[in-house]
Amino acid sequence: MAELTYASIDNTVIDTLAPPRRTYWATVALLFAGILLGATCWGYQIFRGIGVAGQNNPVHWGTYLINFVFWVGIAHSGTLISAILHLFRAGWRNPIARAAETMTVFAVCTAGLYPFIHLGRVWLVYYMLPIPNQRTLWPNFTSPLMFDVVAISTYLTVSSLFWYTGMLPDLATIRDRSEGLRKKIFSILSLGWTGEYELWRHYTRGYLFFAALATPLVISVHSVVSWDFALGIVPGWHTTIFAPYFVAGAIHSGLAMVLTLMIPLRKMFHYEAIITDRVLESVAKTIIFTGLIVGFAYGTEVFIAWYSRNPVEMESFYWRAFGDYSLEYWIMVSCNTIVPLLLLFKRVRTHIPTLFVISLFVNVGMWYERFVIIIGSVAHDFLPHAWGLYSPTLIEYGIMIGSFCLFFFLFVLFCKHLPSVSMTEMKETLHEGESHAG
Amino acid sequence: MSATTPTAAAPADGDSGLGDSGGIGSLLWVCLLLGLAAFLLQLFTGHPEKAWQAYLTNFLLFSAIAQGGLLFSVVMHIAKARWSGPLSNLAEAFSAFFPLSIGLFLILFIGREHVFPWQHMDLHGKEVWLNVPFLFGRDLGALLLLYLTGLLYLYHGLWFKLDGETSVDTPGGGIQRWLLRRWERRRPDAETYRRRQMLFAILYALFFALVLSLIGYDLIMAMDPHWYSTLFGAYNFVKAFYVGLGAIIIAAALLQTRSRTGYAVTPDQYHDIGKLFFAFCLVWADFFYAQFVVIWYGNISEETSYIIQRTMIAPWSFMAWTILIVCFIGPFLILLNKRIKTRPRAMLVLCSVVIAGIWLEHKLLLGPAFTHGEADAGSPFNLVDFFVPLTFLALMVIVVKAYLKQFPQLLRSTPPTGVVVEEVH
Repeated sequence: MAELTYASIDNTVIDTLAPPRRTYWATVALLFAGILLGATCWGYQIFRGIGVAGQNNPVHWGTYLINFVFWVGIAHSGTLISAILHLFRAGWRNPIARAAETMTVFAVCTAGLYPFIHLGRVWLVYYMLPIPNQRTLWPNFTSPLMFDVVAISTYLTVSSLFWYTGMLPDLATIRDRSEGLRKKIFSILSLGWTGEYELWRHYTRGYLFFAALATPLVISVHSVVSWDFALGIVPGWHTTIFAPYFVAGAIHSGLAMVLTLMIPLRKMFHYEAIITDRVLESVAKTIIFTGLIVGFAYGTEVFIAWYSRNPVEMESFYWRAFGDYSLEYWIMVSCNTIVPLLLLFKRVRTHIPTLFVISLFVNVGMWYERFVIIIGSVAHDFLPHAWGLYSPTLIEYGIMIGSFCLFFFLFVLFCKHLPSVSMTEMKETLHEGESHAG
Repeated sequence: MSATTPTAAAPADGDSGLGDSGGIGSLLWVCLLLGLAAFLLQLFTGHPEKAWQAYLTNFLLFSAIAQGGLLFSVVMHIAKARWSGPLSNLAEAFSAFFPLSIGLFLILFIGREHVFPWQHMDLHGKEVWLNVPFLFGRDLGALLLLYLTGLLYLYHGLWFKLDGETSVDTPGGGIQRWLLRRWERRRPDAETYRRRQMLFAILYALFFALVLSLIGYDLIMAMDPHWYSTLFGAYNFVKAFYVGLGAIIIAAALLQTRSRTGYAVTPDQYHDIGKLFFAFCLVWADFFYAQFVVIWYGNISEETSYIIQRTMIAPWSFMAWTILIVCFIGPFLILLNKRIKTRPRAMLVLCSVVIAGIWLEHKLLLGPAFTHGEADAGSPFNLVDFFVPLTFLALMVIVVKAYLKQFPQLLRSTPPTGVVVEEVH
């Protein structure tokens, strides 16, 4: 493997912005078709009413909420990698920080769509905004859903600013190596970056402050998401462990998504010298850690339900494991806690195709975790006569496909049009003489 | 920023610099005996339950300090941190409390009639879990597992620290000589030891979470047997790490201010561990709030009664506010300042206050359960509450000093003599 130099970093990253091949555009077109499918389904739902989705008594929160929480969760590891690991000075996060931050921004955007979709009458969305309250009706500030609106919009603002600020020096590098229209575009995007000492000083301080602010924010956002459930008194939802458990779960799923995105990206863009095997190994080790936290939370919930001797709690957790949704429950447990334990073996975590497959398992497991929590709890709560099951309709599947396509569509566009690895941070790593592989 | 030479002078060979010339040793024994006398007096004159309750509170706190102290070294080892050398060495010294902790837990068995308020209650099926023999059996097993793993981690780590720099003739304690002789007889394979050290480090971290959760459920939460909170276990182990970090900072500051020890920690290292302390101050408060807000908002009487007793009814409510201020609000505001984190004396005071606050927090969590929720007209404290901690503190200091005397060069080896220590302005 060639030794990294400042020039080789610039060349490798800027080469990724060369005009793409037809297969790239075919991929973009395919993903766009998926988005159209989702948009069509949503349009049909707006036209016909929310009843075309499968949510009904007693399960009023179906795939829309599952996907909302799933995407917010994905968003979290971006901030973990870019902010928390930056504060920890973990060198291995540098090659993947940019892509992880980008993933954060796009995942929050995708997640943010779901409350709109779930509204049914989406044109009344402004009721949720904390605007002057002339109608004396809205918003209900004591509702956790209202906390969510504030938390998610703050998170989107901060993560977008963090992402864009971090990219400024790289945008200037591309500007300096471009000509014609591209130079003009990147001149505007780089906001007149000249690379002077003072600019760098402000930039590094600003980046550090962003990291310090984003860290509590990332924890608070997913805590608030968890309180959408925990503040209610539904068995399976009303539990104090939810906030840290959701935060850990979010990071778990996000790290898996980082691997899912990075492994193909590394291959396609020849990033092997930058995103080394040891970088991926470090992500894998972090997944073991988050998997253990998630496993600890699963175990604790079951233990406390048993310890409480509260018949409703006990029934709720027994039913999760052995009731109608037991398959989903065991998919959740095995994909999130047992499969990641394979990464304890060095041979497994250094075998890239296996790592990729494990990351897919974790993604699936984390989606099912939200299914088990959201659906399972309300489907089987206090009153036996009110129990009921839920299954998504084709419209919901269509919207779900659309949201996945939207996320990958945005990410694929980003990869070929903006620097997917932070040249600045890679050069800092070289300058400090530390191994970026941790 | 200016550079100065290290403030700590290396002691003569063979001297750990921990001698008791200043009468500190005598003072420790006085404290130990004073607390013991107060405990025995309380035990045999009227209210033995108060003596045992004070004993339990301090057992929990000081064991947590020892467990959390070693966790620092373990976490640094797992994360391959390079900044923490002298602090990790010091953190390992807290493991000397492990054997004592086991002994103290066994002594608690004598007071079992007084420390488990649920013994004569209707537990509605919880008897399967909440019965004295099973509780003591599982907790003892769990503590033994945790401590054994911790000591095995230490054993393998010590070889790397002592190998090459130390021989049987090097001054040190009997344990050091015994270890060196053992390793001389059969030289260990470095790779095997490295692998085992990592394995035991990971296992210790894992058992730390599980065992401290169990201890939190059994010896704190279950005192009010009808109340439960899923986060309580995690809250307990996060708290243990918080006080463990505080104790390491206190020990480092004390050793550094005693110039004879030759122990030196750079301002950058103080700053780094200070940041970690700050982070766990936030995590502790977050874990408290995550429980509080769910219970407050849910407003279910069987959950809220626990909180109401402790945060809204005097005298416990005053205590709750004091804890919030000294363990979170105060440290949070103070530790935002970088310079404070690099000042050993300031950190010594702050960490002592935080640990005192956590001691009070144990009292708050246990107290209302022992008084069966009755708002006591008088003070929630007895004299024995103030004397028993002296015994535990003295025991902790004695065993940590004994450990450091066994391995005197661990205090001196990092940073090497002559290192330039930067003074932060």
